[in-house]
Amino acid sequence: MTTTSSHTILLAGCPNSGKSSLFNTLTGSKQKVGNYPGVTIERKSGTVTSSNGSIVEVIDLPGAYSLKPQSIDEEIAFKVLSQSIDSNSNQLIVAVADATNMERTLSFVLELKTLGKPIVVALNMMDLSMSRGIKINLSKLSKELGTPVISTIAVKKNGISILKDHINQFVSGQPINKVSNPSTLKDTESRFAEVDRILSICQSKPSTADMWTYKIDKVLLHPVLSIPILFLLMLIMFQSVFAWAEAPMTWIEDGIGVLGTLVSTLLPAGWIQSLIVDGIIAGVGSVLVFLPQILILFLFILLLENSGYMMRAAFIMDRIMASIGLQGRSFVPLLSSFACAIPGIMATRTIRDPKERLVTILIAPLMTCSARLPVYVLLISAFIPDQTVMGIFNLQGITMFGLFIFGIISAVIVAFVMRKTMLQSKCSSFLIELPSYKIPNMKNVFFGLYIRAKVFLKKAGTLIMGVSVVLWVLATFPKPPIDAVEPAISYSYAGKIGKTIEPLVAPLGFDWRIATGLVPGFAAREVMVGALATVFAVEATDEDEQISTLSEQLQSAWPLGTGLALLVWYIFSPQCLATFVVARKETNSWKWPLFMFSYMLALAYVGAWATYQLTSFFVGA
Amino acid sequence: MVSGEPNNNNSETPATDTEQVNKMLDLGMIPGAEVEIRHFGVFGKDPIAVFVRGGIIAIRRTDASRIEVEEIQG
Repeated sequence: MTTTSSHTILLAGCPNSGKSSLFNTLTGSKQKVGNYPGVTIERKSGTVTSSNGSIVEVIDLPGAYSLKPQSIDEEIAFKVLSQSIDSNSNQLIVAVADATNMERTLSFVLELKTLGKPIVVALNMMDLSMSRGIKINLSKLSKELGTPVISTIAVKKNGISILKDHINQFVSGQPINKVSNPSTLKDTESRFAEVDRILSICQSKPSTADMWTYKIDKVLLHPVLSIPILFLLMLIMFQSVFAWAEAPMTWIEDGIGVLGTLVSTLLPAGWIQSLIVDGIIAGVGSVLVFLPQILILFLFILLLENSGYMMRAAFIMDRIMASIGLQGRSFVPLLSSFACAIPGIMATRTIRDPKERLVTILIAPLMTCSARLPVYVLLISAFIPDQTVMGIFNLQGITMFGLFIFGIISAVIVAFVMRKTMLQSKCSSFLIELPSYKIPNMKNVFFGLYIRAKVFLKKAGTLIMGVSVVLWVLATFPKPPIDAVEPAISYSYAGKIGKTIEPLVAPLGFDWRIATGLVPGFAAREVMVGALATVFAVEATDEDEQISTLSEQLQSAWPLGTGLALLVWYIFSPQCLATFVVARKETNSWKWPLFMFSYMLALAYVGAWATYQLTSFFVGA
Repeated sequence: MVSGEPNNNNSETPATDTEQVNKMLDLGMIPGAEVEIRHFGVFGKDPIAVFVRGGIIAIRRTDASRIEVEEIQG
């Protein structure tokens, strides 16, 4: 029999202590992401089943260094632990500690003890700590702390099953801690003194324990080499996104092509066949193709985060970010935004200064996210000749790179202007921990990728499929009159909508067909490709053929100025509804997402207008 | 004033400013702790990476200069 228990397990610990990896091991795939009541911070929870059959909720609290909150993340951890929110159950705290840095993490464990709740200490990374020659006596540590201490990778008996034994004990109402009175060490200094006392009894640590991190940092934080290395890593990252994704993208394209042909032969010609083949398979397929690129980008971001390098990037970039009124921490969310602005915007929570955080949120969508790739690829193949310049560079490749750079430069300018005008705050501080390097836990990395793939496929299966169907309907009905002279689509609803908007975008060189695609493009950028495909009424089902025919059609339908203006439009255009919803959640009002929408729309309009006018002036319309 | 090359051991005495100080304390920068400057940023040698209580903390020079330190031989 299973019942939902009124007991809750809280995982608490410092950032980089391996808390999430313990959470993944403990709860497996039974995870859900929601929000804390009343606030809009992501609440990561999962369940374990105790031996008496009841289901116990496990909450992965945001990482915190202490119970004196310094950021929104830490504030949530503090509120849950002090039960001012989410407070309907008996709580067991699992204090996650990093065995390679006991000096730091034990202080938080001692602070958690002041809450007077049952605590189990879970020591992570014991293997790493042993390989560095650190010896920790677990039973002595347990005695000194007055709490059970388990190693998550214990050799004899699996540490996780010992942790589960403690959870069972807790659920059945048995006491966990030998010492029931809460710790009275209220201030930081006395806690550190206590940590020193405990460690002098329980730990022996050679002075060379962190030599590896020191040696690696000698290179990666080298006063001259650090910046070239950072840029090389980013170059490898973007290069891999394109190179590695090529083969799997071809497989997906071929698969979609085969599926389209198969459906065409199985179903009789008619509107049902057209809906499935031209609407659903073409629309969803044109987006699905980009799954490999998105996953490779996320793979790099996760590896950089899990290895400990991401914080070094923040360190290296701090001075540069300071010159535009931001700080090193802002670099991490902005780098993530190259994959997708949504995790990027959520990653801004570690930034303490509210205005710095806000500016970082506002410029995150200017980073070239993976959803822009389909549009860029289509337009570049249509309007930029595939030729070699200066011997080694491909003009199309340079254009793609230029679009990335253009996005970054615009973000820099926008951030600078905002920090100088409406979002001033006194020069903030930059204070972060540089974690010791470790080999990323691949199980965790792949789990992270799995979650991203699931989110993306869900979007393709719901939002993009829905938009594809609606667009197909709008582009197909009403049917043209028998004496039609223009293409069928210009008589349809989509054609009429596009023609209504056309006067607004005509100064940018956009015709009614682009206008038709812009509307669903606000929901998600990549929809534009499918939308243009539908609007141009390409009957081909093979994805590759569709893109090439589509790009040929675009080339003959539009002048160069229109193509370039559309590219510039896509650098700035306020897009993807989900970004604005996340920005709304993170800023707790519609004011800033609306501002973000307006400034991006203004930049897109002016940028596209200038591009079209200049190109027409120099090249001729 | 924070100065010197890596491997100069310095010992701290109290500083002021509550919010920033709390954060520094949490990261182990407590009075009397031994600190060792390990790495410098590229431009203007800013920020600096300091080894303190078993971990590395990155901090800007303007903040670090408000911490009183004295040099330890060795």
